[in-house]
This record gives sequence, structure tokens and C-alpha cells, in this order.
Amino acid sequence: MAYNVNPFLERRSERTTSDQEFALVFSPKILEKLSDGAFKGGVHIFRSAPGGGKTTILRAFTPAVLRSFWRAKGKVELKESFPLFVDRGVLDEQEGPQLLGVMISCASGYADLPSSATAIEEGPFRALLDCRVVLRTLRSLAAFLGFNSDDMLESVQLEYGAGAEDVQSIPKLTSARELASWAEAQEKKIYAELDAFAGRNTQALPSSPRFESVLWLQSIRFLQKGQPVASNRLLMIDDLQRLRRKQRDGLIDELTVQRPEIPVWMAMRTLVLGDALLSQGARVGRDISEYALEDLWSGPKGIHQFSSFAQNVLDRRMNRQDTVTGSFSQRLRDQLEPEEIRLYLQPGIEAYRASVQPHEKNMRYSEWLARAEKSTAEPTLEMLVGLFTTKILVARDAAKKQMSLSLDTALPAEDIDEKDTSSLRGAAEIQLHEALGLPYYYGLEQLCVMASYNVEELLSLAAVLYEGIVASQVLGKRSPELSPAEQEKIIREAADRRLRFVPKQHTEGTRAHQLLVSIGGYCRERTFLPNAPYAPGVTGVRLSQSEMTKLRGGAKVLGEQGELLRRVLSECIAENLLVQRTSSASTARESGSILYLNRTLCAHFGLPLQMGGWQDISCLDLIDWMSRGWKPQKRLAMGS
Amino acid sequence: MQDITAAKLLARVMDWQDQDPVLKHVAELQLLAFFKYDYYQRFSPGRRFIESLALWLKNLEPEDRPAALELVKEKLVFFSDAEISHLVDTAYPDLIVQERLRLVAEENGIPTYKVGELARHPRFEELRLKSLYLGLSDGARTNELRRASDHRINNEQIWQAYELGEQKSASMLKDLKEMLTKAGFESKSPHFNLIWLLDDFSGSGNTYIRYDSETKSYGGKLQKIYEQLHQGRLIDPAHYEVFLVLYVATRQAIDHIEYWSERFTSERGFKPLQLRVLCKLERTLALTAGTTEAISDLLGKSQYFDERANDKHMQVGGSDGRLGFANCALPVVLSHNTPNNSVYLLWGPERFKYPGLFPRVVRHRDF
Repeated sequence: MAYNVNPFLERRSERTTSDQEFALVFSPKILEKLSDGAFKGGVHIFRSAPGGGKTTILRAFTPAVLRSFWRAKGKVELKESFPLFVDRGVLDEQEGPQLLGVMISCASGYADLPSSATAIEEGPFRALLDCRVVLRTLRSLAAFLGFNSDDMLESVQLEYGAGAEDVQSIPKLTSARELASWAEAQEKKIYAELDAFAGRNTQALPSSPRFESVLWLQSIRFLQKGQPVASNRLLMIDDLQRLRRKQRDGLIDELTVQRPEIPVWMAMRTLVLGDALLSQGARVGRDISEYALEDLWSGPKGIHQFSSFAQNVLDRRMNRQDTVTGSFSQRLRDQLEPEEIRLYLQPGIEAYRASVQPHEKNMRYSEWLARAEKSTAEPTLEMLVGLFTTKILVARDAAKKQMSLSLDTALPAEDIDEKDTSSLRGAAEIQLHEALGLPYYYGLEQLCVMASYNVEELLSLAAVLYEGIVASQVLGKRSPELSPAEQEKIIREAADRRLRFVPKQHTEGTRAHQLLVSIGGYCRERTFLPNAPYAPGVTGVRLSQSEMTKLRGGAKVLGEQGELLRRVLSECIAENLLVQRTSSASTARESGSILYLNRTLCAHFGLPLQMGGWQDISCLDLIDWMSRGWKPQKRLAMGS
Repeated sequence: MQDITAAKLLARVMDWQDQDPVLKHVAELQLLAFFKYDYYQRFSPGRRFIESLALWLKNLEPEDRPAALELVKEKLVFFSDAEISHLVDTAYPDLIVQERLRLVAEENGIPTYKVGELARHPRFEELRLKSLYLGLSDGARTNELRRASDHRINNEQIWQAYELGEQKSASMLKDLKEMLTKAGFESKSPHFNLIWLLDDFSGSGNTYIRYDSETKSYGGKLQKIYEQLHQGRLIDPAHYEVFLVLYVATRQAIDHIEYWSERFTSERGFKPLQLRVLCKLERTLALTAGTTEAISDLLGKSQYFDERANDKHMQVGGSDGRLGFANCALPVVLSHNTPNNSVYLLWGPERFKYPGLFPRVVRHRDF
């Protein structure tokens, strides 16, 4: 009996659940984001931080899961996705699955092979991968054909097409059953050598001069009752990051050079800062394609599409429990109620008056201030946002060194409407949160933003919110939803825990923690300047191209600390604690890389959730922050 | 009762008004309930942990409830059935076999690290056959031990009770002779050399051995066993070892048994008892040491006690039982029954005033 009090706590469901359960919890919406190119021949690499959904995508194309999708074709959840499967030739409305997906994981075994310096000794690695691909293909074929056991492979004959003559290390047997036996024996032979107690005899290890399984997979024909079956193939290799660097590079390199006719998908964690994938002469887009899963959502409508995907994922989890009724979004209130707003009205008005008090007698702002004062009669959230917008605009205007000539002329009240942009509004909202504690981190949309396009992060936040929903039910509250204040409290506690956990989770955890706290502190300082110069706020730091070059140089350029910084940043990016985005060059600055704080961590630091505001810094700054921590400069101290 | 309903009941009893205490306690308690506490075997049919906890807390004054909840969450030590089974499973390979190896090493002057040589020695096999296993209570789980030995203990070497009748003793000796002969060990009048006494738990050690200073006599199971062994023909009085194997025991019990058994065996001229404990509970576990003020206050309140618990059996331990038999003050619960060495608030029987959270079925009941 499984412990399943909180369905959002289940992780790695792509591995732990049965195919039927997986089909139920899997949201096929992510497949809509895959480009057609990914189904064409060649090497395609999927990258993301842990929990980004790599294995989930791969498993969706295995025969048993495809069959589950096909059976569920009438369901509402698949209404949009099913035609995409059909268009891409993955499923046929009448016949079922049309694609033979072969998935193997690099999680176990390969890194145990003896390491070597010469290409010849890489042979056992190739031999192991080849025999596993053969074995997994035949097992997938059995699932594809609906066989109950591998013994039924007796009924499948093998034929070899053009290209198969180049395959040397895989025997050209005509019986699928016999080939499976060969692959099993080959695997056992390799493991017997690896497990040998008295040392390995490398001569006895099966060896291959090159990876031949892709050539084999694209040239073999499977015949059942004389008819060809499973002609479309897809090879999927997961957990590539678990291989040793040399093995990984060799595999990608050789497969790219082979220019496979079938799509070969490889999934690995995000690599950063100089870990190049390409072999000499290979070109991105032609020989090899890369897909960063986080970037799939980064288009103009990205967040809405991710929200729709996230809602789908959350509702599927909700359906697996019976404590709470309704959908997940129904349980998160996304608006403040009038009585909640009322609590903040008076303190908000007072905070506004205190900040504009030095300008009270200034004729220049008389109309702005009069309009703001007049609005205070209206007890709404809009009024508060308006007051804080005025407060920022006054601070901005007052800070201008070169004042207008007409000092005694009042600025027209309509100016405020003209200047009231969404970023300014965002700045006013986060300042209201900072000054009054007005809830900011609530509602499904904000939840999706805080997940930083990562399913695992989404589920972590959903898990704690679910506990809050259950707690409300336990308390027998009249309202079945979590209020914005309750949501924010829960989310900020989860964000605190996330940050506290960093030192335990990373190899350079203490330094990573110090660096993140420093970046957070620095961003806060820049965000909460009275005139909000980087509205809605600063949530990241940028390293220009020349700083990135220094960083890639590591110890040679920046010394030992530089190498350390490179490692810490790589790890933070790989774990999604920092989100890397490129920033293009302009007339005033060179291009570079922006390192945004993870959006959940923004909730910890009380920062806005929009991506946009960043500040240029140098590697030396980051080294200083990482080793000694960031200290606020007195002239810019918060609240001043 | 459904989980959510039980949690609502708990929230009402604890008078929780906002989310914080619910988030802090409920999920953890539900997890503990799922993994362990729901499987307490003395709960009434259909009742589970969370509702039992709510009803138990309801019996206490509202100001005492947070301390009682703290006692459950921070101090309680619950041995689940699986955990005790695990201890039983380890007893044979990790303790009994090791003792046999040690004896063979000592008798033959072979270094203890030469495990292969010791295990191949005929005396090692002979000692295996000449071992007798006796359960001291139904918690000894002799059946599980026999299975865990992987057929190294046969049916005629193990008995669930320590009182053996003439017929049973004779049958055991007859089988011993057959087994020895089959294994090539000649013996006209065979005896058991190693006596293994098995039990699951000891809190004070009084059940095994106690001394009555008025009558200047010993009581308890060990005294009966030693006398029975010497009266019967099961052992050769000149050559035997007695091991008491306890799966769980407190330091108080260990010290008590070691001290009084040493006195008893030396006074009577018996071979000394060798005590082996698989899981030792140190004195720091007792609720009288290093506990919070709130819990101390709760345990110190005289009202949460039923005088009927202070019967003649309890008085043997020299205390009234509020802090458990012999003032052990343990926070320990075993899945099949709560030992009376635990505080009364945990074990109080259901029919008494202030029944315990894990009510105990008493061994001795005066009707």
C-alpha cells in the first residue's frame, strides 16, 4: 500500500508509475511545443534542469504509453494533442501507435566501465550500448505488437536492408528471439567481467570499434507474417549526464557524424559555461539540434501556454486524491476581497503621505498630489496602486538633476496616466508588498511564474499549497479557497526552505548559498529605490561577453577563485537556482548573459516576478559576493 | 473514520484556529500514523491513531493538551511489528552465530578473525546442534527466529515457553542424540551446551530476576529456569552457557539483570548468565531526564491516573505506576502492547479512568 496523502509529493512519476498511471498524470500539452524538426532524422538533444520534464517527454513515446494515449483519444484532455500525434505519424486514429520508440537510460552501468585514454578501450562502452539498444528495441517491439512475453518474438523475422552491411558487431540473425538472446548474453558477459572479484581481464570484454546500434536500428526490417511492422523508429537515450564526460562527448560526436536517418533523442541536464557539444565540422540545426525545455515556453505567449500546461498537470494530480474536491485553481483565490483590502488602506495612505510630505509645498506636484488625495476616498486596491505610482513618479521627477525651467508650473494630473505603464504598476505593487505586506505571491498565474517553467518546482509549490488547502478543510473554514495572504505565507515558507536546502544539496553549497543571498540582497537594494529606476524591479545580474570570456578562462584568468565561481555558477544554473538568458548587444553595450534568480527565490527575497530588470556586474563582484557576501552600500541602504 | 474527519476532530480538540498548527502537526501525525501508529494492535476494531489521539487529548485539561501532543510527537518511541521482526531476523546471524564462533575460538585457541576456519571446525557444528532455544514470553517470536536461521535451528531445539515438561525434555534429548549421531558426533548421553533464552522487551528487569530482602529469596523467570535446568537432564551441569537475548531493553533493566543475576548465580553455584541486547535504550530516553518543563508538569499531575493501576503487581516495582513500573518513565510503545514501564498516560487500560493513548492489555487482572 503506497502512502499517498499528498499526490503532489510524488516525484519522478515517469519512472515510478505504471504505463497506465503515467498516461493519466502525464500532460500531453508539452508535446504541442515540440517542433516538427524533432521528428526528423538526426541527433536532437533535450536539456533542462532536473525536473524540467525530459524523461517525461521521452517516456511518452514508448509503445505502451502511446497505446494508452490512443485508447484515451476520446477524452477531453487529449482533444488538442491527439491530432498532433496523428499529424506527426506517431499515432493512427484507427490502427494505434505507428512509431517504435526505443528508450534506454544511461543511469546505470556505463560509468562503471573501465575508463581509458585510448579510443580502442572505449570499445566496451560501445559494445554495451549497442547490445542494450538491440535488446531494448526488441522488447519495445514486443510491447508495440502487444505481445505478453518476449517469447512471442519467435513470430518476428528480421531482414536487413541497405546500410546493414556496414554493421560488424551485431550479428545478422533472422530470428528476433535469437537476436534478443545474443544481446542478453553479450550484456551478461560484460557485467561478468565488470563484477569479477579478482580484477578485470580487459581482453575478454566485448568491444566495438564504433556505435553501430543506430545503423542497425535504421536498416533492420521487422516482419510479422511476412508483413513489415514498426517501420518508423525513434531512439531515445536518457540521462546522458550520468555518463563520464569522455563517454558522453564520444557518443554525441560519433552519432552526429553518422548523420542518422532516424531521429535520435538524447536527454541531459543543462550544460553551461563552455561545455561545448559540437564536434568539428558539425553544425547546429543541420547535424544536431538542441532544445532547452525551459526555452520552449519563452515565447511571447509562453507563460500562458505554460499556465495551461501547469493547470493540466495539477488537475491530473488533484484527480488522484479524494480529500479535496474541485480543481486546483478553484482552491486558490486570485483576488483580494474588499475586507482584506480595507486592512491595508489606512497604512497605505499614511505611507504615501509620509513619502510625499517633503514635496507638499512644491507647486510642481500640486496637481498630482491633489489628484492622489482625492482618490483616497475610494477604498480600493486600485487607489493604493495609484498612490504608490504617484509616489514613485514624484521621486523620479524630484531626482532629475536637470529640472524643467518652469519650476513654479504645476505638472498636469494627466501626466500620471501617460506615465502609468505596466512596469510602473508592477513597481508600485511590489513596493506596496514591501511597505505594507500586501499579498503579492498568490493565484495560479503567479504560481506558474514561480515554477520557473519547471514541473518539479511547480509540484513542490503545489504540494505545500495542497497541504494548506487540506488545513483549511481541517479547520472547517467557511470559504473553500486559500486566501491570497495564506497562499503567500505558504509560498514564502517554501521558498525559504528551498534556499536553506541549497548548502546541503550542492557540492559547493555554502558558496552557492552565499552567492544567491548576495544576488538577492543586491537586487532588493536596486528594486526598492524610491524612484524605482528599474521598474518593476531588478531580479538578475548580467555578465557582459568579456566578463563571460574571463569566466570561461577559469583559473588561468581569474585565479582559483575564478574557477570556483565558474563551478558554483554552473551548478546553480544546472539546478535552476539561476536562470540563464542571453542578452543581445546594443549600441551602448556588448552582448552578455543574464543570470536571473529562480522565481521561487524571488518570493524569498520579496522581489517582483517579472523577468526584465538586471544590472551589469563583473566576475570580481561575484567572486567577492561568493566568498565574503554582499554588503549594502550606505548611500543606497534600503528604505532610504 | 476518514483521515480528514479524524484531523477535524483533532483540530477541534486542540482548538486550532489558524493554519499554522494544522500545517505543523497534521501531515506529520498522518505520516507517522500511516507508517506505524495505526498498526497498534490493541486499538478497538475500526479505530485508528488520529482519532485515538484526539479522544485521548480530549480527556486532558485544555492547557495540558499541547504538552501531551509534544510528548507524542517529540518523545514517543514506537517499535513497529516490522522493526521488532528485523531485530529477530538479525539475532541469529549477528549474535548467536557470532557467540558460537567466539566459543570455538576460545576453546581451540584459534584467532577470532579466522572466521572460515572457525566455521569449518566440527565444534562449531556440534555447538549448533547442542543449542536449546526457549521463549520467555509470547513476544519472543521463536517461530520467526527459527525461520530467520534458515534451517540452522530445527524444530526440536526450540520451544516457545521456558517451562518444559518431562515428556518434552525427553523428546528433545532423543532428537538431539539422533541429530548428533547423524552428524557424526558420538554421544551416549547427550546434553545441550548452549541455552538461549529469548524475549522481546525488558524495561526494569524485575520480571527476570528480583530479590526479596524480607524473605532473602530470589524470584523471577531466571531463577525458575536455572533450577529447572539443573533438576532435569537437559544440560551437563559442568559444561553449559546460558544466554539471555533481549531484542529491546533499557539500561536500567540491563544493569538490574546483570547485577542480580551475578549475585544469584554465584550464590547458587550456577554458571553466570550472559546478557545480550540487540537494541539498548539508554537512560536519556526516560521522561525524567532532559525533558521539557511542560511535559514534566503534565506527568507530575496527580489527576491523570487511576488508583486501580496501583495493584500488587505494580507494587513489586516499588512505585505506584504513574511513571510506569519501577518508575522507568519510558515513552516506549510496542506494536502488540504498551509495556507498563512506560508512563501511565501512554498505557492506562481502556476500562480505567484516563485510558492511555496506546491502552495496554494487562497481563495480570484481578477479577
